[in-house]
Amino acid sequence: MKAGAPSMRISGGSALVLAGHGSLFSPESALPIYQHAASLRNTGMFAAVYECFWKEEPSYRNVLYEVEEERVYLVPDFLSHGYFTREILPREFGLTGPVTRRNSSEIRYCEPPGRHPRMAEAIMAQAEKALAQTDCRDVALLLVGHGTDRNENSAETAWEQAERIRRSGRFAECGVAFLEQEPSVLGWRDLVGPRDLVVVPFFLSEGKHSYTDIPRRMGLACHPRDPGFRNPQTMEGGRRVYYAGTAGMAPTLDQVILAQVEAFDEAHPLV
Amino acid sequence: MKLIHWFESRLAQTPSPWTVGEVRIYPGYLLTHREDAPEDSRLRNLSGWEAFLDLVRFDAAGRFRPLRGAPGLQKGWRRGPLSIAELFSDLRVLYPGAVALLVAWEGKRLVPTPFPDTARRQTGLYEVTQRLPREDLPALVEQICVRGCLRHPLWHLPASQPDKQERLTLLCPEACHYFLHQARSRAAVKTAA
Repeated sequence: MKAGAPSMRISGGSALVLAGHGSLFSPESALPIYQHAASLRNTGMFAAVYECFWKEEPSYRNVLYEVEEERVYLVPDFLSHGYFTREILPREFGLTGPVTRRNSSEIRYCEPPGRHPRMAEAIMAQAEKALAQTDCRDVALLLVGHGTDRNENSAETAWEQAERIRRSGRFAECGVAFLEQEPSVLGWRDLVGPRDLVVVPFFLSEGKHSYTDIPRRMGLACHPRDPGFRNPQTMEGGRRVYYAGTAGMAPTLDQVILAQVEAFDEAHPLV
Repeated sequence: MKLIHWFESRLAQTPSPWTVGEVRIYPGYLLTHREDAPEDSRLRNLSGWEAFLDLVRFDAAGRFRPLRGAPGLQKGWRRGPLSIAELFSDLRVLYPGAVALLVAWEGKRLVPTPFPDTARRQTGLYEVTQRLPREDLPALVEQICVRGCLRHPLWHLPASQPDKQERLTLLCPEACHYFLHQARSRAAVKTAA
Protein backbone atom coordinates (compact mmCIF):
# COMPACT_ATOMS: atom_id res chain seq x y z
CA MET A 1 0.00 0.00 0.00
CA LYS A 2 1.22 3.49 -0.82
CA ALA A 3 2.30 5.90 1.87
CA GLY A 4 -0.60 7.95 3.10
CA ALA A 5 -3.13 5.31 2.15
CA PRO A 6 -6.37 5.30 4.10
CA SER A 7 -6.16 2.95 7.10
CA MET A 8 -9.32 1.15 6.18
CA ARG A 9 -10.73 -2.20 7.06
CA ILE A 10 -12.76 -3.63 4.26
CA SER A 11 -14.45 -6.83 5.25
CA GLY A 12 -12.98 -9.81 3.45
CA GLY A 13 -14.64 -10.96 0.28
CA SER A 14 -15.81 -7.57 -0.94
CA ALA A 15 -15.64 -6.58 -4.58
CA LEU A 16 -14.89 -3.17 -6.00
CA VAL A 17 -16.57 -2.17 -9.24
CA LEU A 18 -15.19 0.93 -10.95
CA ALA A 19 -17.70 2.37 -13.39
CA GLY A 20 -16.20 4.67 -16.00
CA HIS A 21 -17.48 6.34 -19.11
CA GLY A 22 -15.16 5.05 -21.84
CA SER A 23 -15.35 6.07 -25.47
CA LEU A 24 -15.86 4.60 -28.92
CA PHE A 25 -13.25 6.95 -30.32
CA SER A 26 -10.68 7.90 -27.70
CA PRO A 27 -8.65 5.06 -26.17
CA GLU A 28 -7.43 7.40 -23.45
CA SER A 29 -10.87 7.82 -21.94
CA ALA A 30 -10.87 4.42 -20.23
CA LEU A 31 -7.17 4.40 -19.39
CA PRO A 32 -7.37 5.88 -15.87
CA ILE A 33 -10.06 3.37 -14.92
CA TYR A 34 -7.81 0.49 -15.99
CA GLN A 35 -4.92 2.02 -14.07
CA HIS A 36 -6.96 2.60 -10.92
CA ALA A 37 -8.31 -0.94 -11.09
CA ALA A 38 -4.85 -2.47 -11.54
CA SER A 39 -3.44 -0.49 -8.68
CA LEU A 40 -6.31 -1.38 -6.37
CA ARG A 41 -6.03 -5.05 -7.29
CA ASN A 42 -2.44 -4.91 -6.14
CA THR A 43 -3.44 -3.67 -2.71
CA GLY A 44 -5.19 -6.98 -2.06
CA MET A 45 -7.88 -5.13 -0.12
CA PHE A 46 -10.68 -6.45 -2.32
CA ALA A 47 -11.47 -10.01 -3.29
CA ALA A 48 -11.86 -8.75 -6.85
CA VAL A 49 -11.78 -5.48 -8.76
CA TYR A 50 -13.86 -5.02 -11.90
CA GLU A 51 -13.93 -2.27 -14.50
CA CYS A 52 -17.05 -1.44 -16.50
CA PHE A 53 -18.00 1.29 -18.92
CA TRP A 54 -20.91 3.09 -20.53
CA LYS A 55 -19.33 3.14 -23.97
CA GLU A 56 -16.97 0.17 -23.85
CA GLU A 57 -16.97 -3.41 -22.62
CA PRO A 58 -18.03 -4.74 -20.24
CA SER A 59 -21.18 -2.68 -19.93
CA TYR A 60 -22.64 -1.65 -16.59
CA ARG A 61 -25.33 -4.30 -16.98
CA ASN A 62 -23.11 -7.15 -18.06
CA VAL A 63 -20.47 -6.67 -15.39
CA LEU A 64 -22.87 -7.88 -12.72
CA TYR A 65 -22.81 -11.34 -14.31
CA GLU A 66 -19.10 -11.41 -13.51
CA VAL A 67 -19.31 -10.22 -9.92
CA GLU A 68 -19.38 -13.18 -7.56
CA GLU A 69 -18.85 -11.40 -4.26
CA GLU A 70 -21.83 -10.65 -2.04
CA ARG A 71 -20.71 -7.18 -0.97
CA VAL A 72 -19.95 -4.80 -3.80
CA TYR A 73 -18.57 -1.29 -3.57
CA LEU A 74 -19.65 0.52 -6.70
CA VAL A 75 -17.54 3.62 -7.30
CA PRO A 76 -18.37 5.90 -10.22
CA ASP A 77 -14.90 6.74 -11.55
CA PHE A 78 -15.92 10.29 -12.36
CA LEU A 79 -14.77 13.62 -11.00
CA SER A 80 -18.22 14.93 -10.11
CA HIS A 81 -21.83 13.97 -9.87
CA GLY A 82 -23.94 14.44 -12.95
CA TYR A 83 -26.26 12.68 -15.31
CA PHE A 84 -24.26 9.45 -15.30
CA THR A 85 -23.84 9.15 -11.55
CA ARG A 86 -27.36 10.34 -10.69
CA GLU A 87 -29.40 8.66 -13.41
CA ILE A 88 -27.56 6.20 -15.64
CA LEU A 89 -25.65 4.21 -13.04
CA PRO A 90 -28.56 3.84 -10.59
CA ARG A 91 -30.79 2.72 -13.44
CA GLU A 92 -28.33 0.28 -15.02
CA PHE A 93 -27.35 -1.30 -11.71
CA GLY A 94 -30.92 -1.29 -10.38
CA LEU A 95 -29.95 0.76 -7.34
CA THR A 96 -32.59 1.67 -4.79
CA GLY A 97 -30.45 3.95 -2.63
CA PRO A 98 -26.94 4.20 -1.17
CA VAL A 99 -27.21 0.54 -0.16
CA THR A 100 -29.11 -1.81 -2.46
CA ARG A 101 -29.82 -5.26 -1.09
CA ARG A 102 -30.79 -8.03 -3.46
CA ASN A 103 -31.16 -11.56 -2.16
CA SER A 104 -27.95 -12.16 -0.22
CA SER A 105 -25.91 -9.48 -1.93
CA GLU A 106 -25.61 -5.75 -1.48
CA ILE A 107 -24.30 -2.92 -3.61
CA ARG A 108 -22.79 0.02 -1.75
CA TYR A 109 -22.90 3.04 -4.04
CA CYS A 110 -20.01 5.35 -3.19
CA GLU A 111 -19.36 8.96 -4.13
CA PRO A 112 -17.16 9.78 -7.15
CA PRO A 113 -13.49 10.26 -6.19
CA GLY A 114 -13.47 13.82 -7.53
CA ARG A 115 -15.64 14.94 -4.63
CA HIS A 116 -13.42 13.66 -1.83
CA PRO A 117 -11.30 16.17 0.13
CA ARG A 118 -8.22 14.14 -0.79
CA MET A 119 -8.83 15.00 -4.44
CA ALA A 120 -7.36 18.42 -3.70
CA GLU A 121 -4.10 16.65 -2.84
CA ALA A 122 -4.17 14.81 -6.15
CA ILE A 123 -4.72 18.07 -8.05
CA MET A 124 -1.83 19.75 -6.23
CA ALA A 125 0.38 16.74 -6.89
CA GLN A 126 -0.25 17.10 -10.61
CA ALA A 127 0.55 20.80 -10.40
CA GLU A 128 3.76 20.20 -8.45
CA LYS A 129 4.86 17.56 -10.94
CA ALA A 130 4.54 20.09 -13.78
CA LEU A 131 6.35 22.73 -11.73
CA ALA A 132 9.24 20.38 -10.92
CA GLN A 133 11.70 22.46 -8.87
CA THR A 134 9.71 25.71 -8.99
CA ASP A 135 8.44 26.95 -5.63
CA CYS A 136 4.66 26.62 -5.84
CA ARG A 137 4.11 29.33 -3.20
CA ASP A 138 4.89 31.90 -5.88
CA VAL A 139 2.62 30.32 -8.47
CA ALA A 140 -1.13 30.55 -9.13
CA LEU A 141 -3.00 27.33 -9.80
CA LEU A 142 -5.81 27.43 -12.36
CA LEU A 143 -8.21 24.49 -12.26
CA VAL A 144 -9.99 24.15 -15.61
CA GLY A 145 -13.11 22.00 -15.76
CA HIS A 146 -15.64 21.22 -18.46
CA GLY A 147 -18.71 22.75 -16.88
CA THR A 148 -22.15 22.72 -18.39
CA ASP A 149 -25.15 24.96 -17.98
CA ARG A 150 -27.29 21.82 -17.72
CA ASN A 151 -25.78 20.57 -14.48
CA GLU A 152 -24.36 22.59 -11.62
CA ASN A 153 -22.59 19.68 -9.94
CA SER A 154 -19.68 19.61 -12.36
CA ALA A 155 -18.70 23.21 -11.60
CA GLU A 156 -19.55 22.97 -7.91
CA THR A 157 -17.03 20.18 -7.38
CA ALA A 158 -14.28 22.21 -9.06
CA TRP A 159 -15.08 25.19 -6.85
CA GLU A 160 -15.02 22.99 -3.74
CA GLN A 161 -11.63 21.58 -4.61
CA ALA A 162 -10.27 25.04 -5.44
CA GLU A 163 -11.35 26.26 -2.01
CA ARG A 164 -9.48 23.37 -0.38
CA ILE A 165 -6.38 24.23 -2.39
CA ARG A 166 -6.63 27.87 -1.31
CA ARG A 167 -6.97 26.84 2.32
CA SER A 168 -3.89 24.63 2.05
CA GLY A 169 -1.78 27.74 1.40
CA ARG A 170 0.56 25.78 -0.84
CA PHE A 171 -0.04 27.98 -3.87
CA ALA A 172 -0.12 31.74 -4.15
CA GLU A 173 -3.75 31.52 -5.25
CA CYS A 174 -6.18 29.19 -6.97
CA GLY A 175 -8.65 30.11 -9.69
CA VAL A 176 -11.32 28.15 -11.53
CA ALA A 177 -12.31 28.30 -15.20
CA PHE A 178 -14.45 26.21 -17.53
CA LEU A 179 -14.71 25.27 -21.16
CA GLU A 180 -18.48 25.39 -21.43
CA GLN A 181 -19.65 27.84 -18.79
CA GLU A 182 -18.59 30.99 -17.02
CA PRO A 183 -16.03 31.91 -15.95
CA SER A 184 -14.64 30.88 -19.32
CA VAL A 185 -11.05 29.80 -19.71
CA LEU A 186 -10.86 32.37 -22.52
CA GLY A 187 -10.68 35.03 -19.81
CA TRP A 188 -8.05 33.26 -17.70
CA ARG A 189 -5.92 36.40 -17.31
CA ASP A 190 -8.72 38.00 -15.30
CA LEU A 191 -9.17 35.00 -13.03
CA VAL A 192 -5.73 34.94 -11.41
CA GLY A 193 -3.14 37.56 -10.57
CA PRO A 194 -0.32 38.45 -12.99
CA ARG A 195 2.13 35.83 -11.77
CA ASP A 196 3.45 32.48 -12.96
CA LEU A 197 0.69 29.97 -13.47
CA VAL A 198 0.16 26.22 -13.41
CA VAL A 199 -2.90 24.86 -15.21
CA VAL A 200 -4.51 21.60 -14.06
CA PRO A 201 -7.31 20.26 -16.28
CA PHE A 202 -10.10 19.01 -14.00
CA PHE A 203 -10.81 15.94 -16.12
CA LEU A 204 -10.50 12.26 -15.36
CA SER A 205 -8.59 11.32 -18.49
CA GLU A 206 -6.39 13.02 -21.01
CA GLY A 207 -8.01 13.75 -24.35
CA LYS A 208 -9.05 16.47 -26.74
CA HIS A 209 -10.15 18.82 -23.96
CA SER A 210 -6.83 18.65 -22.13
CA TYR A 211 -4.55 18.35 -25.15
CA THR A 212 -6.18 20.87 -27.45
CA ASP A 213 -9.23 22.77 -26.25
CA ILE A 214 -7.82 24.29 -23.05
CA PRO A 215 -4.36 25.22 -24.45
CA ARG A 216 -5.92 26.69 -27.58
CA ARG A 217 -8.39 28.82 -25.66
CA MET A 218 -5.63 30.01 -23.37
CA GLY A 219 -3.55 31.01 -26.37
CA LEU A 220 -0.66 28.70 -25.54
CA ALA A 221 1.72 28.40 -28.47
CA CYS A 222 2.60 24.80 -27.72
CA HIS A 223 0.08 22.10 -26.85
CA PRO A 224 0.87 19.02 -24.73
CA ARG A 225 0.85 16.68 -27.73
CA ASP A 226 3.15 18.89 -29.81
CA PRO A 227 6.61 17.35 -30.32
CA GLY A 228 8.43 20.31 -28.79
CA PHE A 229 6.17 20.71 -25.79
CA ARG A 230 7.87 21.38 -22.48
CA ASN A 231 7.12 23.27 -19.30
CA PRO A 232 7.06 26.20 -18.83
CA GLN A 233 5.91 28.33 -21.75
CA THR A 234 6.72 31.99 -21.52
CA MET A 235 3.95 34.41 -22.37
CA GLU A 236 3.57 38.19 -22.37
CA GLY A 237 5.64 40.04 -19.79
CA GLY A 238 7.79 37.00 -19.18
CA ARG A 239 4.96 35.21 -17.39
CA ARG A 240 5.59 31.47 -17.24
CA VAL A 241 2.72 29.01 -17.74
CA TYR A 242 3.10 25.38 -16.69
CA TYR A 243 0.64 22.84 -18.04
CA ALA A 244 -0.06 19.77 -15.88
CA GLY A 245 -1.60 16.35 -16.52
CA THR A 246 -5.29 15.95 -15.81
CA ALA A 247 -6.41 15.60 -12.20
CA GLY A 248 -7.72 12.10 -12.82
CA MET A 249 -4.32 10.86 -13.96
CA ALA A 250 -2.72 11.70 -10.61
CA PRO A 251 -0.89 8.63 -9.29
CA THR A 252 -2.70 8.89 -5.96
CA LEU A 253 -6.19 8.69 -7.40
CA ASP A 254 -6.48 5.04 -6.39
CA GLN A 255 -6.04 6.21 -2.81
CA VAL A 256 -8.81 8.77 -3.30
CA ILE A 257 -11.07 5.95 -4.46
CA LEU A 258 -10.20 3.96 -1.35
CA ALA A 259 -10.92 7.02 0.75
CA GLN A 260 -14.39 7.23 -0.83
CA VAL A 261 -15.03 3.59 0.04
CA GLU A 262 -13.93 4.29 3.59
CA ALA A 263 -16.13 7.37 3.75
CA PHE A 264 -19.05 5.30 2.55
CA ASP A 265 -18.56 2.74 5.32
CA GLU A 266 -18.41 5.52 7.89
CA ALA A 267 -21.69 6.95 6.63
CA HIS A 268 -23.32 3.54 6.18
CA PRO A 269 -21.76 1.16 8.71
CA LEU A 270 -21.61 -2.47 7.76
CA VAL A 271 -24.35 -4.49 9.39
CA MET B 1 -19.51 -22.93 -8.65
CA LYS B 2 -17.08 -20.06 -9.06
CA LEU B 3 -16.69 -18.85 -12.63
CA ILE B 4 -13.01 -19.72 -12.70
CA HIS B 5 -13.72 -23.27 -11.56
CA TRP B 6 -16.46 -23.61 -14.17
CA PHE B 7 -14.00 -22.44 -16.82
CA GLU B 8 -11.27 -24.82 -15.68
CA SER B 9 -13.75 -27.66 -15.65
CA ARG B 10 -15.00 -26.77 -19.14
CA LEU B 11 -11.44 -26.88 -20.44
CA ALA B 12 -10.87 -30.25 -18.77
CA GLN B 13 -14.01 -31.68 -20.40
CA THR B 14 -13.21 -30.61 -23.94
CA PRO B 15 -10.34 -31.47 -26.28
CA SER B 16 -7.44 -29.04 -26.55
CA PRO B 17 -6.44 -26.71 -28.01
CA TRP B 18 -9.39 -24.54 -27.11
CA THR B 19 -10.56 -21.68 -29.31
CA VAL B 20 -12.27 -18.59 -27.95
CA GLY B 21 -12.99 -15.88 -30.48
CA GLU B 22 -9.68 -15.11 -32.18
CA VAL B 23 -7.44 -16.74 -29.61
CA ARG B 24 -6.37 -20.29 -29.02
CA ILE B 25 -5.50 -21.77 -25.65
CA TYR B 26 -2.98 -24.62 -25.45
CA PRO B 27 -2.47 -26.89 -22.45
CA GLY B 28 -0.13 -25.36 -20.02
CA TYR B 29 -1.67 -22.76 -20.49
CA LEU B 30 -0.33 -20.92 -23.55
CA LEU B 31 -2.36 -18.25 -25.27
CA THR B 32 -1.83 -17.09 -28.86
CA HIS B 33 -3.77 -15.69 -31.77
CA ARG B 34 -5.59 -18.65 -33.28
CA GLU B 35 -3.69 -18.26 -36.54
CA ASP B 36 -0.30 -18.42 -34.82
CA ALA B 37 1.51 -21.57 -33.72
CA PRO B 38 2.74 -21.41 -30.12
CA GLU B 39 6.09 -22.98 -31.04
CA ASP B 40 6.80 -20.26 -33.59
CA SER B 41 10.01 -18.61 -32.34
CA ARG B 42 9.08 -15.37 -34.06
CA LEU B 43 6.21 -14.79 -31.62
CA ARG B 44 7.02 -12.15 -29.04
CA ASN B 45 6.40 -13.08 -25.44
CA LEU B 46 3.94 -10.66 -24.00
CA SER B 47 4.12 -10.05 -20.28
CA GLY B 48 2.47 -7.49 -18.06
CA TRP B 49 -1.13 -6.33 -18.07
CA GLU B 50 -0.46 -3.00 -19.78
CA ALA B 51 1.18 -4.59 -22.82
CA PHE B 52 -1.65 -7.09 -23.07
CA LEU B 53 -4.30 -4.39 -22.72
CA ASP B 54 -2.62 -2.40 -25.49
CA LEU B 55 -2.54 -5.48 -27.70
CA VAL B 56 -6.25 -6.01 -27.19
CA ARG B 57 -7.28 -2.37 -27.56
CA PHE B 58 -5.37 -1.55 -30.75
CA ASP B 59 -5.14 -3.29 -34.09
CA ALA B 60 -1.93 -3.93 -36.00
CA ALA B 61 -2.15 -0.47 -37.59
CA GLY B 62 -2.47 1.15 -34.17
CA ARG B 63 -6.17 1.94 -34.53
CA PHE B 64 -8.36 1.81 -31.44
CA ARG B 65 -10.65 -1.24 -31.19
CA PRO B 66 -13.62 -0.14 -29.09
CA LEU B 67 -15.43 -3.40 -29.87
CA ARG B 68 -13.50 -6.31 -28.40
CA GLY B 69 -15.60 -8.86 -30.25
CA ALA B 70 -14.71 -7.38 -33.62
CA PRO B 71 -12.24 -9.44 -35.66
CA GLY B 72 -8.86 -7.76 -35.94
CA LEU B 73 -6.90 -8.89 -32.90
CA GLN B 74 -3.19 -8.51 -33.54
CA LYS B 75 -1.10 -11.58 -34.32
CA GLY B 76 2.49 -12.46 -33.49
CA TRP B 77 2.41 -12.79 -29.70
CA ARG B 78 2.31 -15.44 -27.04
CA ARG B 79 1.27 -15.42 -23.38
CA GLY B 80 2.26 -18.08 -20.95
CA PRO B 81 2.67 -20.45 -19.41
CA LEU B 82 -0.24 -19.06 -17.44
CA SER B 83 -2.01 -20.23 -14.32
CA ILE B 84 -5.73 -20.77 -14.66
CA ALA B 85 -6.27 -17.50 -12.77
CA GLU B 86 -4.02 -15.62 -15.19
CA LEU B 87 -5.70 -17.22 -18.18
CA PHE B 88 -9.14 -16.36 -16.80
CA SER B 89 -8.00 -12.80 -16.22
CA ASP B 90 -6.63 -12.54 -19.78
CA LEU B 91 -9.93 -13.71 -21.19
CA ARG B 92 -11.70 -11.00 -19.21
CA VAL B 93 -9.50 -8.47 -20.98
CA LEU B 94 -9.91 -10.07 -24.40
CA TYR B 95 -13.63 -10.69 -24.28
CA PRO B 96 -15.08 -8.96 -21.22
CA GLY B 97 -17.76 -10.98 -19.49
CA ALA B 98 -17.51 -13.87 -21.95
CA VAL B 99 -17.29 -16.69 -19.42
CA ALA B 100 -19.82 -15.14 -17.03
CA LEU B 101 -22.36 -14.62 -19.83
CA LEU B 102 -21.90 -18.18 -21.09
CA VAL B 103 -22.38 -19.59 -17.60
CA ALA B 104 -25.51 -17.48 -17.13
CA TRP B 105 -26.81 -18.56 -20.55
CA GLU B 106 -26.27 -22.23 -19.89
CA GLY B 107 -27.88 -21.77 -16.49
CA LYS B 108 -30.87 -20.08 -18.15
CA ARG B 109 -30.22 -16.89 -16.14
CA LEU B 110 -29.21 -14.69 -19.06
CA VAL B 111 -32.13 -12.65 -20.32
CA PRO B 112 -31.43 -10.94 -23.65
CA THR B 113 -32.76 -7.39 -23.98
CA PRO B 114 -34.74 -6.73 -27.18
CA PHE B 115 -33.53 -3.75 -29.18
CA PRO B 116 -36.65 -1.60 -28.59
CA ASP B 117 -36.05 -1.86 -24.83
CA THR B 118 -32.42 -0.80 -25.25
CA ALA B 119 -33.40 2.07 -27.55
CA ARG B 120 -36.01 3.28 -25.05
CA ARG B 121 -33.29 3.78 -22.43
CA GLN B 122 -31.31 6.11 -24.70
CA THR B 123 -31.42 9.85 -24.21
CA GLY B 124 -29.74 12.86 -25.78
CA LEU B 125 -27.95 12.15 -29.04
CA TYR B 126 -28.94 8.49 -28.90
CA GLU B 127 -32.67 9.04 -28.39
CA VAL B 128 -33.06 8.95 -32.16
CA THR B 129 -32.35 5.19 -32.09
CA GLN B 130 -35.94 4.80 -30.90
CA ARG B 131 -37.01 5.87 -34.38
CA LEU B 132 -34.89 3.34 -36.24
CA PRO B 133 -37.34 1.62 -38.61
CA ARG B 134 -37.89 -2.00 -37.59
CA GLU B 135 -37.20 -3.14 -41.12
CA ASP B 136 -33.69 -1.59 -40.93
CA LEU B 137 -32.65 -3.64 -37.91
CA PRO B 138 -31.84 -6.96 -39.66
CA ALA B 139 -29.49 -5.28 -42.13
CA LEU B 140 -27.69 -3.45 -39.35
CA VAL B 141 -27.36 -6.62 -37.31
CA GLU B 142 -26.00 -8.41 -40.36
CA GLN B 143 -23.45 -5.68 -41.02
CA ILE B 144 -22.31 -4.92 -37.46
CA CYS B 145 -22.99 -8.05 -35.46
CA VAL B 146 -22.88 -11.01 -37.85
CA ARG B 147 -20.06 -9.83 -40.12
CA GLY B 148 -18.39 -7.38 -37.75
CA CYS B 149 -18.37 -9.15 -34.40
CA LEU B 150 -17.62 -12.61 -33.07
CA ARG B 151 -20.26 -12.46 -30.37
CA HIS B 152 -23.66 -14.00 -31.06
CA PRO B 153 -26.37 -11.29 -30.78
CA LEU B 154 -28.86 -13.11 -28.61
CA TRP B 155 -30.96 -9.95 -28.41
CA HIS B 156 -31.83 -10.24 -32.10
CA LEU B 157 -31.09 -13.75 -33.30
CA PRO B 158 -32.61 -16.42 -31.11
CA ALA B 159 -30.22 -19.24 -30.35
CA SER B 160 -30.67 -22.64 -28.89
CA GLN B 161 -28.72 -23.40 -25.76
CA PRO B 162 -25.10 -23.81 -26.84
CA ASP B 163 -23.68 -27.26 -27.10
CA LYS B 164 -22.09 -27.62 -23.71
CA GLN B 165 -19.41 -29.98 -24.87
CA GLU B 166 -18.17 -28.19 -27.91
CA ARG B 167 -17.50 -24.52 -27.78
CA LEU B 168 -16.78 -21.51 -25.68
CA THR B 169 -19.29 -19.34 -27.49
CA LEU B 170 -19.09 -15.56 -27.23
CA LEU B 171 -22.50 -14.13 -26.44
CA CYS B 172 -24.05 -10.69 -26.59
CA PRO B 173 -27.26 -10.21 -24.59
CA GLU B 174 -27.89 -6.57 -25.51
CA ALA B 175 -27.06 -4.15 -28.32
CA CYS B 176 -23.78 -2.46 -27.40
CA HIS B 177 -22.91 1.21 -27.77
CA TYR B 178 -21.00 0.53 -30.94
CA PHE B 179 -24.21 -0.82 -32.45
CA LEU B 180 -26.23 2.07 -31.03
CA HIS B 181 -23.80 4.53 -32.58
CA GLN B 182 -24.29 2.97 -36.02
CA ALA B 183 -28.05 2.72 -35.46
CA ARG B 184 -28.13 6.39 -34.52
CA SER B 185 -26.48 7.38 -37.77
CA ARG B 186 -28.89 5.25 -39.76
CA ALA B 187 -31.93 6.56 -37.87
CA ALA B 188 -30.77 10.15 -38.21
CA VAL B 189 -30.46 9.79 -41.99
CA LYS B 190 -33.93 8.24 -42.19
CA THR B 191 -35.42 10.97 -40.00
CA ALA B 192 -33.84 13.71 -42.10
CA ALA B 193 -35.14 12.08 -45.29
